[in-house]
Amino acid sequence: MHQVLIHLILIALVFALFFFVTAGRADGNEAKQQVVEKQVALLIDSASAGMSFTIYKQNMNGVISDMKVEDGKVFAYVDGSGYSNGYEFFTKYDVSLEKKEDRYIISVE
Amino acid sequence: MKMNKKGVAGEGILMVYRLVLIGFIALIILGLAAVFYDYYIDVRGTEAMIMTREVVNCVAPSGVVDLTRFENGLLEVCGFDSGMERFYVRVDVGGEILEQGDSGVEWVKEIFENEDKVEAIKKYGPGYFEGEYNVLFNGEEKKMKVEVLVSHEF
Repeated sequence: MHQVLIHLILIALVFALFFFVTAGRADGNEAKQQVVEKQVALLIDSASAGMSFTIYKQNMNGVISDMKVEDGKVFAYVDGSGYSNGYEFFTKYDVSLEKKEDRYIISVE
Repeated sequence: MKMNKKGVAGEGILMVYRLVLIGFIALIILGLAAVFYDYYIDVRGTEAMIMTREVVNCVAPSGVVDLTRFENGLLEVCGFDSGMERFYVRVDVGGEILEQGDSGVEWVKEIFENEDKVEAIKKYGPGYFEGEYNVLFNGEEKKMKVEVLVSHEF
C-alpha cells in the first residue's frame, strides 16, 4: 500500500513538473521576453551618442522584473521568466543601464 | 505473516515500467508544446538596415569616399570592435570592393531565396539589406553599393 502511494506521488510530481514547464511555454513569456530584448537591442543599435531611453518596468509586454546590459547583450526578465540567453546589440558607443524604482534608463555615450 | 517475495519484486518492476511510460508520455507532451509554442521574432532585416546606415555614414561622410582609411578593416575603423561575427558587410564603390565578415552567408542567402523552404527552417536564413548611393570617389561621381547580411543568432 505504501509503495503504491509513493509511486502515485512520484507520478504526480513528474506530471506536475511537465505541466508547469509546458504552461510556462504556453503563456507566451518567452515571446514577450524576446520582444523586450530585441526592441531594446534595436534601440541601442540605432542610437547616437548622448541618447538615453526609459523603459518602464510595467509596460505593455508585462512586468520587467529585471534587466541587464552585459557583454554586448541585453537580458530582460518578463513576468517571472527566470532564464534568458540575451540578445546581441552592436554599437560603437558605451552603453550603461541605470535601475530606478519603476523604470530602467539606458544611456548611450 | 509471510510476504510473497516474487510478488513484491514483480510489483516493483511494474511500477518502474509505469513510471518510465508516464515519463515518456510527459516528454512527448513537452516536445509538442516546445514545437507548437515556439515563437521567433526576426529583427535581422532591421539590423542589416541599421548597419547599412552606419557603414554609409562611416565610408562616405558628407558623400566623399576615401578608401585608404580602411586598411585595418572596415568595421574596426568604423568603431565596431567586437561582437560583429554575425555580420557580413560589402561595399562596392565603382568596382573597388571593401568587405568584412564571413562571405559564406551570401550563399546561405541564395539557398534560402531559391528553395521552397519549410517554415521551421526559415529562421536560419540571413537578414539582408542593400542600398545604393551616389558618392564622390577620386573626384568623380560614382555609385556606391552597400550590402549587409546578418546571420542567425543560434
